[in-house]
Amino acid sequence: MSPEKGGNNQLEAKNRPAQKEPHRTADRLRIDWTTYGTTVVLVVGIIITAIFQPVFLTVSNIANVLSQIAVLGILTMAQTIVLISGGIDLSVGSNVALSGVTAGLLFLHGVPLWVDCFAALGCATAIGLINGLLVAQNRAHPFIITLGMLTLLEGIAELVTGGSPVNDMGALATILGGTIFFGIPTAVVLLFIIVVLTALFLARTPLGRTAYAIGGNEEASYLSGIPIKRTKVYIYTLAGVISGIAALTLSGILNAAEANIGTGLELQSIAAAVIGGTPLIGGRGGAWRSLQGVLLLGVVSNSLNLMSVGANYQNIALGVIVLIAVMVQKNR
Amino acid sequence: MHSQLTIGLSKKCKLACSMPARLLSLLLAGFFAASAASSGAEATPAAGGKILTIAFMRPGPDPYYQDGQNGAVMAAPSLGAKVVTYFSNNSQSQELANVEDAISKQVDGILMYAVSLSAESADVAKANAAHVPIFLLYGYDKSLLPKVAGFEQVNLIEYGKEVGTWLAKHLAEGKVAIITGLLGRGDAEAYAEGFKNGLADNKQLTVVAQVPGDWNRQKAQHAAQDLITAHPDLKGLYVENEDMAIGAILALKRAGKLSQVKVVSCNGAPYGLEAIGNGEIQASNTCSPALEAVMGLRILTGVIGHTTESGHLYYSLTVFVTKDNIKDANPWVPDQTGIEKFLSLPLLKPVADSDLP
Repeated sequence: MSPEKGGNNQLEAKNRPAQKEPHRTADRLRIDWTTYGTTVVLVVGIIITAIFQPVFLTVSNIANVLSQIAVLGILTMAQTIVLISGGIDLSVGSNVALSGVTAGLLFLHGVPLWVDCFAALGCATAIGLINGLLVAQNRAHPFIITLGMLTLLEGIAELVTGGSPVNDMGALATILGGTIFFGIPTAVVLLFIIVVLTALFLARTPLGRTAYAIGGNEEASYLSGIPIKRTKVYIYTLAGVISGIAALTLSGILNAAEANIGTGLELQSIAAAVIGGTPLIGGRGGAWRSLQGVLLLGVVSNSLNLMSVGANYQNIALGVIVLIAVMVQKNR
Repeated sequence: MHSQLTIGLSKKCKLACSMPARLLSLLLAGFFAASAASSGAEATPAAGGKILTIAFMRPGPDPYYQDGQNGAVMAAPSLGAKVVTYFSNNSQSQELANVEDAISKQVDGILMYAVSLSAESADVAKANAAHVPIFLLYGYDKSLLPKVAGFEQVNLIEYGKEVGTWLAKHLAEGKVAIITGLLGRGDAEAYAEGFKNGLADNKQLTVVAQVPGDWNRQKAQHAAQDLITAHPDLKGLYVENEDMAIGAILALKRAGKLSQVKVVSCNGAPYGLEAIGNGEIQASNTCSPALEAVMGLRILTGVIGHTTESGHLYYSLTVFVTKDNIKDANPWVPDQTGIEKFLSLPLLKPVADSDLP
């Protein structure tokens, strides 16, 4: 069984008592809620919304939903990799803000756009690298380290912008904020590419497999000769790179960069990953699972807006649906 | 900026015995200390011969609060005061800790934009217990008024109503939608209520949806996308601040609907005025946070110096702006001349507190 589908621990499988023969057919017919719970909730949500609001299934609205989840989706891939390795990155949102602001301010000062983009990616990567080094080199939990980084980055972003937004991102708005072909938003294509690459990275590369191993049991991984510290540095750096891509995408979509633009994205990305089936304890989950969580949040928000549900009721509905999605994934 | 956040973080880091995390904390402390130094200014002593120390507290990183803070800092020396700034990071507990910190530093008064209604009550109780006058920019709870130096805020219902009235006159018929700020504090609710009251002047207009934007540009952009999908024939859109309005306009532009939908808003931020100038926002009710904070500081220092009576409600100066009178809006980011103009304006007159919730 692959980690993506729910179990990375082969020892667990070996030690599990053999199932009795009569139960096999019943087992085959039973839905694996751990894997498909979110999918079921998502499909039910789509059906209900489509009944009450037929416009939900129009091409333009589907494009809306996908473009609305693009940034969160990309960022959730960064969070997923870190969560699988047993870590957590609370600084992804503020990384998005500072990287976006870096690109925006450089553009404002007449620096060519491609240089701005590389500077933003460089900034995001450096933040990821620093996170990785801090997490790898001491025993403090990544939660507190990345919380410190979140605060630090927010402060820097606010300081350099003076709290005011940068309201022009030039061609970035037409490239990443526009459509690429057949009316498909570029951000959606980018999301798809990032999800595929993340899935391949986790499933097919030694570093990706190592992330599962460390997240599953760090001590056993260490005793097996896995370079724990180096792997953590790579993983957080990679999360930084992906955060940089999310920053450019968000700046392009909004045609703006702002110090508080990433506020809340860190918790949303964690929520989306966990709802999708990538647990906080690490060692399990995957890109496609997390994407389900992102989709569920996006679909719920879109459908509530389409049905003109008031803000307070939206929060209640969102909370209930998220709880249902988590509860149906039993054996988590 | 002596943020308690730094101190809180340091404690956590000590628990974790983590050197790099301590280093981060030191960096944060250095950063905030640098901000505090920059906010200090040379003040001329007031009539009593003492330079007043005023704690200015802002709840979040939004430009509105930042520019309010800048206005207070710039005006303070002329009022015989110096301003120490605090940041609450949208946290009620952080805000209360900041109030305690300011009290322990023996400030002469506190001028604040509170995080929330419940935080306000706790802040006022702390300040009252320490006999430190506290002035609330946007006090939402009428019962607190006798306990504070004063409240200053826009007339919440009227602020939205003027926008609704304008749209009722300038849009013959059709569907109208509202993108609100974050509900829960009373202001976003009151703006929407006022807007609907004003819109009621034209019976041919119908509010078909009221969805949240939470003062967040990205969320407002998504909301506008969804609104135009659900109501392709939408004719009017009220977005409760211009930061969100810019996001909504982008969504309408990309959907090719901007020419069809009249967008109206509130605030008067520099980018909002620019959008009014190029016709993307049709009208906006503007209020300069810098002017608001300068007025608040003037009243507070007056209360401390016993020249102004405490416990009154004041309405901030607002200017309703369309393309024709953009220059009438008071600037959010004034220069020193602008601050001097704010200082020379007549002090606000107290109003009845009957409009408060």
